[in-house]
This record gives sequence, C-alpha cells and structure tokens, in this order.
Amino acid sequence: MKANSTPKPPWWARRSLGRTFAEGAACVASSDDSDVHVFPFGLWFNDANSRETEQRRKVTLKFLQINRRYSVPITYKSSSARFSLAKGVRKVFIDGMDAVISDSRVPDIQAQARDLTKRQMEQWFVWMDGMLAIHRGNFVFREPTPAQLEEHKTGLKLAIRCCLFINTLIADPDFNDPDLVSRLQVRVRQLQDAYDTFHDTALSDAQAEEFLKQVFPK
Amino acid sequence: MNKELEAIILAYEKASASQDKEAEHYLMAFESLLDTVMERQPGLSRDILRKSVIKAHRKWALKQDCKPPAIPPKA
Repeated sequence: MKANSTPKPPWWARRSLGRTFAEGAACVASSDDSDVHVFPFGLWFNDANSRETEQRRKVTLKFLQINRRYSVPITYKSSSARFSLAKGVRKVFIDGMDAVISDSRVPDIQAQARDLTKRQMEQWFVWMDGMLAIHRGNFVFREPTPAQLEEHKTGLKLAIRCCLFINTLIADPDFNDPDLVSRLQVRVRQLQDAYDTFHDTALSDAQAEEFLKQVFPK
Repeated sequence: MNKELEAIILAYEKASASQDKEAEHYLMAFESLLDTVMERQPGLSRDILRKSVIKAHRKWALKQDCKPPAIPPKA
C-alpha cells in the first residue's frame, strides 16, 4: 500500500452515492456478509479488541441500518486488481480502500455541520419572511375572519417556537456566527410583534388607545 | 393624530414592510424613537408603549388606501 496514493473509489460507490459522497469513503460490511456498504465519515473497524473500535462499529452498524438503500451486493468483483474484495471474521472490506482510509484526514465535521445549518437557516428565514408577508397582507391591512385569526395564532406560535429552538443552536459560542444570530433575532422580534398585534391578552385595544392618549396628547 | 406618534407609527411601518438587514435597520430606528419618548417620560412601561404603538399601527394600516397585496391562504 502506498502511503500517499489516493485511489479513486470503485465504480459502484461513485454510481450509487455520487462523487463527493464516495470520495474518501470507507467501505464496511455487515457481519452476515449479505451487504457491502459505504460509510461516508471514515469510521472504520478492523481491530475488534479496541473499545474505540467497538464504539465505531456500533455507530457504523446503526448507520447501516438507516441507510440500507446504499447497499450493494457482496458479489462485487472489480475488474481492477487494485480493488479486490477481502473477507475476514465478521468483516469484509475492499482492500483498495485501505489507502483512502489511511491517507484521508478526518472530515471536518464541524465545518460540514456549520454549512448545513447555514443552508437550513436560509430556508427558515424564507419561511418566516413568508409568514410575515401573510401577516402583513392578510391581517394588518385587512380585517381577517375569526377562523383566519385562529390560524394566525397557531402559525405564529409555531414560528416563534421554531425560532427559539434554532436560536439555541446558533447562539452556541462554538458556532460563533453573530450575523446569523442577529438575522434570526430580527425575525423573532417581527414575529412576536405580529403575534402581539392580535393575540396579546395582557393589553386590550382599548387599553392601548387610552395609554397612547396619555403619552401623546393632541 | 399626534405628530410624534404618527412618526413612530411610520417608523414601525418601515420596519414591518422590510426584511432581514433592512428590517434590522428600521427596527433600530423605531426603537430609538421609543427611547426618546421614554427619556421624556421615565415612568412609562416600555413594553406597554411598544405594544400600544403596534396596535395603533394596525389601526393606521386599516385606514390606508394603498394596501400590500393579500396572499392567498394556499400560497
């Protein structure tokens, strides 16, 4: 095995999982020899005596259980000598992938999670802005029906709850993206205002009017 | 309508009509106008003042001829 060589993943890995997903993947197999799976995070078990390896094995098998669609038949035979199928006790692996596992660094999971979170946040922002547009166009500038108001209440409650849930994720100091936090806070403020406009039981319309008369006399 | 209250309502309207960074900018302007009122009348509840202005904004909005488009419920 050449330490610095980076062999291409086998054709089936590229075909079934896509290029990015397959690159650097580790091949693992279920113990019943029925399937070969590609595991994308470089987790690998080869030494059954190690506690860490055992933990990885459990994680891997859990992954395999929920990713059965990525499996390919064990009858795979490579036309290239570089990738040959090897079997051992309770494990099967593709020899050629050893080099990938040895050479590839641990994927930057934190960066991947951050990118994923940011993409999801953008989707949340679009959804929240859509709710605010509906609030504005259908409720603030028009008289809604009682049924519409009930939907308004339910929807905004859900949106605010989602915002607070997301906030716990991105407000984590490790995430460290103040801009994203700030953009979320704006939505929280706008959604809360939208909710309070119609559903704040602490202050009635009459009380608000009386209050403003005192503060802003004509 | 009191001119100062009208100015605050219009500031809130800008914040309500905008999104993202622009909304943040207008919200800050709106909040600063509330701060000005609070400085002049320190005994007020800021929370009640804010909510009252937002309710007043809604009354103002209903009187406007130019309304934003209504969005169908299924949109």
